[in-house]
Amino acid sequence: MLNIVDLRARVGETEILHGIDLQIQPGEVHAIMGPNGSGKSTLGKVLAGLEDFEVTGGQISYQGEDLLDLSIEERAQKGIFLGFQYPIEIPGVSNDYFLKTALNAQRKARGEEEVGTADFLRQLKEAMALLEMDKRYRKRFVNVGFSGGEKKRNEILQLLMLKPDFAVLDETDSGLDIDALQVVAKGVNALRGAGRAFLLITHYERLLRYIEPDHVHVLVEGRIVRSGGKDLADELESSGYTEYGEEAR
Amino acid sequence: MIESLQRSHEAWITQSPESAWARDLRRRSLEAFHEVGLPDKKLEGWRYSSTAKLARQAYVHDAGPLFEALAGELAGRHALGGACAEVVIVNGQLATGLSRLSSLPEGVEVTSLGDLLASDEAALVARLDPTAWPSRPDASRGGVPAGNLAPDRGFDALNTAFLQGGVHVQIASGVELDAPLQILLISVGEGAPNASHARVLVTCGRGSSAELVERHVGLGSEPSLVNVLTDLELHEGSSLGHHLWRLQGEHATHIGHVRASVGRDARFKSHTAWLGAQWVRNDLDIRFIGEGAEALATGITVVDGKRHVDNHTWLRHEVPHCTSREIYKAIAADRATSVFDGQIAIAPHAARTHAELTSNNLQLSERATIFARPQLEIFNDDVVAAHGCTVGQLPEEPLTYLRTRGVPLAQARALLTRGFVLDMLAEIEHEDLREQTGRWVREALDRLFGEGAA
Repeated sequence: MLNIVDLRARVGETEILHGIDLQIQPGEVHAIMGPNGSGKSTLGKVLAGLEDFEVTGGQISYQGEDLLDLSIEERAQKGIFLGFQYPIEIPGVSNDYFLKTALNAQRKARGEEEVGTADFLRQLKEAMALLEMDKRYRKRFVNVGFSGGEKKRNEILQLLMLKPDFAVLDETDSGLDIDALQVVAKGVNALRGAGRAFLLITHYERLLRYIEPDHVHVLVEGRIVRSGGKDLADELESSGYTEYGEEAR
Repeated sequence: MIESLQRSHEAWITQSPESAWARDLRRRSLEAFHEVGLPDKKLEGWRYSSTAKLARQAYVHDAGPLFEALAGELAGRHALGGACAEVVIVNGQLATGLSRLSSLPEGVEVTSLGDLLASDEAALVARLDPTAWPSRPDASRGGVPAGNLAPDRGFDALNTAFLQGGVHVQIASGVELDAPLQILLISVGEGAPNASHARVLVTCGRGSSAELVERHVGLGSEPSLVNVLTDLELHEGSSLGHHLWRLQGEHATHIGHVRASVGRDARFKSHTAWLGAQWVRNDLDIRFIGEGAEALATGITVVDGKRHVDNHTWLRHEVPHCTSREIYKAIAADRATSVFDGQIAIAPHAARTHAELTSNNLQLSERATIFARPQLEIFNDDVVAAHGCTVGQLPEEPLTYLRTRGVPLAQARALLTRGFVLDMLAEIEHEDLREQTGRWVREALDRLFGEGAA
């Protein structure tokens, strides 16, 4: 589904990613772990096409297409979703209107019929029930006045509504208490399978107790220094990242 | 302009009976106008709004036939509906046949100003006199002697000199209107540029409460001029919501002056939406005359093409313990211009005043022009006063966020622009009127971005 070969990216004059290789098959859940500043979030943003980064080398093919040729919205329309580490507030735009607009923009781009109001509301109600979100969040302006945890939950609500083929979740676990984390995990797990792939970006192993990954990668100083199964996350929990810091140099 | 107005007024007045006091008031107002003329760019408050083009335009003041069919159709389309009472004014004159007043509760009286001008009872002469209202401080350096017209009040004098009619709405003490009352002002003209001069007077008795919609619509391919004066008196403990909507009229010039005097413990809410007309200048003057009163003033401007909207507001805190909050938002696209000038004056004895003023402006194109100027004049230390003013483009981060959800850039811009103004609707307490205002704003934005874009 996704094939990253020797990806290099920089912000300004500083190269952040020094050659990433990563393959993700449909249905797989990958976790990228690493210390702060290792380039984890950069990788997520590059995949979503955010323009604050410049790709200086390498290739990314996604479902057989050159991902780097696509605009931000085209990537989303082709099923890529980025769950933001710091979700953005949109004053004056209600959550439900935002979701319906996004859903229909994607459907329209794919040549599908727009979703009807009744059908949309039914899906929204189900998704919000799963995430234990009060119904007043439907009419609240997107993320405005939400707590950190509420914003993250709202990202997962979007994930559930947009049903992407490939979702990158950037530190979705940070700032969440254990109850909220379980709710978020429930949302992600509800979407697993059906050929859908995930890339979880996280600093801590905690998230991976609730969302079990198929593959774990350690990213240090812009390079993947080790890959393994879910046991690797447990190992990192006890040993930390220091030894990889050496290895990367 | 003035010669054409005078000529057609002379013809018009022969068909409209008039009392001696009204004739005298007109004569004095016209003389006063000739003293000061139209406000021009030499006046601080008119720097950004030139009346030069208007001064060259000839207008027909004779409403001629009332364009009954067209006006009737517009009145039907713009009715508030439900149990709402409707007062319809066509080209400055009360159209009794189109108005629906039967649903008004006892204690609410709507009088035709046309009838009043014909009667010998000069009850309202002091209120109609344009010299009775002071000048904005920036226009009266050196002061204006009593009985003289302030130099920036030329349009008020014209309104009085050529007054065609209008209404006086009187709400008796303690009367509460369940449904909003709408005053619909229609300007229609074909074949010749049409001018209308109407006056709306509202008197809210002690402890009364009402929501009033002043809606302006216009049709016609000729330039038209609407010069309207709205005079609101809120007596002790009364509450009035004034919803001023300007829709349609791509060839219309709209000069408006809304003045409100707010009595002890009264609550005044002014909600304006400028969504139509080619060239607008509106003055909103709010004066606190009794302690413990509150005022909220919101404004939405959506201008595109080469349109021009100028909002001047003036809040006068002349007594202690009053609260005012003012929020104006404007969106200017294409080569349009939006002006906001908000003055708050806090008098030396107006202690414990709380005043806030915000003006947020969105510039959608490089050729659009935005002027925004808040001004505080504070002569008392024991007050809380704050102002904020922003002019900018759409922020990048929310745009990107929307795009990561699959919303194309153009649509994302439309959505954020819509959010920028609709954010403010929450300030409108009355649910139906909030929804209606939202509908008109959305319609104006659809014109900007194409239907369904936002």
